[in-house]
Amino acid sequence: MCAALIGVIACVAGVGGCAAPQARTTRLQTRDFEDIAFEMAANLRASDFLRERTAESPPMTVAVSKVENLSTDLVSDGEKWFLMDRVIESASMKTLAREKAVRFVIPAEKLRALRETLGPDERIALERRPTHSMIAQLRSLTRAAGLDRTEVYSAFYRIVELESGEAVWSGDFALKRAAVGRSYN
Amino acid sequence: MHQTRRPSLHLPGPRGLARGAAAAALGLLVSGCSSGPDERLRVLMDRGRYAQVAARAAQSAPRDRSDREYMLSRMRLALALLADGRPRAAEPVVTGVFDVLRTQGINDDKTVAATVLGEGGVLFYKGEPFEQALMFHYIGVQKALLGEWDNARASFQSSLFLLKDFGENERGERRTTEDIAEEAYRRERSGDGSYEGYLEKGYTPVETDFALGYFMSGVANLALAQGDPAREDEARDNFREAFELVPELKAVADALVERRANALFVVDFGPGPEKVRYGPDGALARFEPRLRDDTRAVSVTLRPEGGAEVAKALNVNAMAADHMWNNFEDVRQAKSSVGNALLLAGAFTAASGRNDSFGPAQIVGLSLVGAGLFSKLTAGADTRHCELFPQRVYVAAVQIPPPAAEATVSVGATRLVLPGVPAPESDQALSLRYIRVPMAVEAERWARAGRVAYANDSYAGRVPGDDLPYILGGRCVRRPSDETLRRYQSSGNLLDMTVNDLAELYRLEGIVPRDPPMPDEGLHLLEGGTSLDAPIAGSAGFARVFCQDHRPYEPRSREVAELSARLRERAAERSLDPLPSAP
Repeated sequence: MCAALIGVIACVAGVGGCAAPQARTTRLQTRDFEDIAFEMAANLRASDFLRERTAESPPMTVAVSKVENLSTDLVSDGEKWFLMDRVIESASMKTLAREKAVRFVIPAEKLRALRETLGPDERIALERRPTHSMIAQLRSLTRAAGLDRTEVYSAFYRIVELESGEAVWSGDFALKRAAVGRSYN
Repeated sequence: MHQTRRPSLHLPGPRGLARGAAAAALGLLVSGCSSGPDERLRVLMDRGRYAQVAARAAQSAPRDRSDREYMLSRMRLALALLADGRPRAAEPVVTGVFDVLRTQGINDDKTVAATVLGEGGVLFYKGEPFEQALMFHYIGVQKALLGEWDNARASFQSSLFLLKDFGENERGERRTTEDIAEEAYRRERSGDGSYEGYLEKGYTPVETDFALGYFMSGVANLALAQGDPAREDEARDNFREAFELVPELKAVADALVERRANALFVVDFGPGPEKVRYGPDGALARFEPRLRDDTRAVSVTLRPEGGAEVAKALNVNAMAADHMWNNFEDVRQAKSSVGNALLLAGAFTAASGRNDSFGPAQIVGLSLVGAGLFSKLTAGADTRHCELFPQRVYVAAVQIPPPAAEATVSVGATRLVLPGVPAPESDQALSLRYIRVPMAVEAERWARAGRVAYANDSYAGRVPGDDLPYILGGRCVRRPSDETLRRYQSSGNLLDMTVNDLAELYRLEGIVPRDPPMPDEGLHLLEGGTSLDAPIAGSAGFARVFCQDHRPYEPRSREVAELSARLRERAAERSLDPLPSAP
C-alpha cells in the first residue's frame, strides 16, 4: 500500500510545468470528499460482490461505520459520515439494496447519538442485527521540501463479513494535493 | 558665485539642518516599535482566570482572516479555552488555527514591504516554528479531549516537521540568531555567497527533537490500536523516538502500553518565555525565560486509590532558545543593520559639506539620513509572540477507577485538587485530561477544595441543593433539559413546568445556551456571565467554576424574581413544618 502511494508521489513529482494557480495548502477540500464518495460508490456498484447477488440471495445487513482518519489532515465527524453516507445513499445503491437483498444500517455509535431524536418505530428499524460491516480509512503520505509540500490521500473502503472476518469487497481511491511556499511562513 | 538670499522663515540654515538631522538620526539609535504581549492576559493566565483570558481574547480577535493578528488572537483564545476545560467551545478556533498552520507561504510576498515597514507592521503572524509545533500539540490535545483520537493523531504528527540546523559556533556552542546573522554577513562580504542564500541553504535539515510530539503521537496511536496491530506498532515506534530524546518518558509510555493506565494527564505549568529584542538596535529577537526551568517535584495522586507515572516532557524555554525552532525572520530582514549603515553614511556626508552651501552633498546626505531614520524607526525585531504558552509540560499515566476519582496534581508546593475525574467510556481505551496548573494557585481556595458545590453537565453526581436551578436559588447549573427538569420535579419542585417553560426562564435572564458552545460565550453564569458551558471534569476551569461558593443569583427579570421568591417562601414553610412523629 505504501509502495503504491510512493509510486503515485513519484509519478506526480515527475510531471512538471503545471500552469494552474499554485495552491497554498494541501488540506482536503469539500470537492475532494465528493470525489472520493463518488468514486467509491461507482466502485461498489460495479463490484463482483454485488453483481453476483440477486433479490433471492441471503439477506445482508451491513453496519456502516464512520471513516477513520489516519491522514495528517483534520476531518470532522460530518465529513467522516459524509464519506460513508454518500456512498450508500446514492440512488442506484438504493435500487441495488432492493434488488440484491442488501441493506445498510447505521451502527450503534451513530444510533446512540440519534436515539434522542428518533421515534420508537425508527428505533426498532435500526436494531436489525448486522451480518457485515463497512469500514473505511483515510490515509496520507507527505513529502515536504523547503518550498513545497505534496500530500497523497488515499481512501480505503472494505465490507467485511462479521462471522468469518472475510473481506467481501474492497476499494480504494487516491488523490494528490500540492502546495507551494515556505511551510513555517 | 552669485548667492541668492532666501526668505527668512527662522529655520536653521542648510548646515544647521543637516547637522540637526544627523544629530537626530544618531540620537534615534533606539529600537522601533511593534505590538507587544498582552500583560493583562499573562496575569490572568498565571492566576488561573482562564475564562477571563478567553473572554478578553475573544473580544479582541479579528474576524478578518487576512488580519495580521488573526492567528495570534486565535492561539491565545484556543489556549485559554483549553486551560478552562472547554474543548467543544474551542473547536472552531482550533480549526482556524490548523488551517493557517497548514497554509504555506502566507508571508512569501511580503518580505520587501516588511523591510520597509517592519515585520510587525506587515507580516501575518504565524508564530515561530516552536510556537507552530506547540499549537499542533494543543490542537491534538483538544481533539483527544473530545475523544477524536484519529484527528488528534493527525495534529500530533503534524508537529513533527523537519528543522533547520545551522550547527555550532567556533566555541562549540549552539549558534544563536546573532551568530547566524554574523555568519550570513561574513559570507556576503567575503563574496562567499549572499546573506539570504546562507539563510536559505546554509543549514542541514534534521529530524525534529520534539519529544512531546513523538510521545503524543504514540498515545494517539495507542488509543486507536484496538484491533489494529499496525497502530500499536506505530505507537511503540513513536514512544521509542520520544524516550530516546527524553528517557524519563519511558516509564510513562510503558504504563500506557502495558495497560496499567487508562488515562493520560497533560499538565502545563508556569509562564512560557518572552520574546525580546537584542543585538544591534534590537534588530534581532530571542526568547528569554519568565520562569527558569527547575526540577521541582511533581506528582499525581488519586483518591480512592492510585498514583501515576509522571515525567517532564518539555521545557519550552530550551525549545524557544534553540535556533532550530526559530524562523530567522529577524535575521532575514536585517533592517536595523541596513539602517545603521545608511545613518552613518548620511551623517558623515551631510556634516562634511561646505559651510553655507546646500548642495548635492547635503541633499544626498539628508536623503540617506532620512532613509536611515525611516529604516531605524521600523528596525526593531517583531516581538509578537503567544504569551500564554506554559514553561513546561508534564505527562502522567494514570489509572482512574470507574466511575470517577479525585485527582491531586502537585508541582512543587502548588497543588490542584480535581474532583470527579471520570474513567474512560467503555468503548474508549484511553482518555486524556489537560490540566493547566496556575502559578498563583496557592491563594485560591478553589484549587484545594476538592468538593463539587454546583451540579453541572460535566458531573454526574448529586450535589446538595441541586433540586433547583441556580437562577431560582438552587445549586444546579445544568442546561435546561428533560432530564434536568425530571431531577427538579422528583424533589417536588417546578411540578407545573415543561422544559420549554424552564428554558424560557433562562431566556428571560438573557441566558440562551448554545449547542455546541461557542468560543465567545464569555464567563460562566456562576462567574457573573451568561454561559452554561461547563468546563470538563479534570480541568482547572472545572475546579474554579464548580468547586467554590459563588454569590447567590440576582434575577434580572420580574418573572424569575417572583418565582424565586415563591420558592424561597415555600422552602421556609417546609422548614417550619413539624417533624413527623415517630412510629
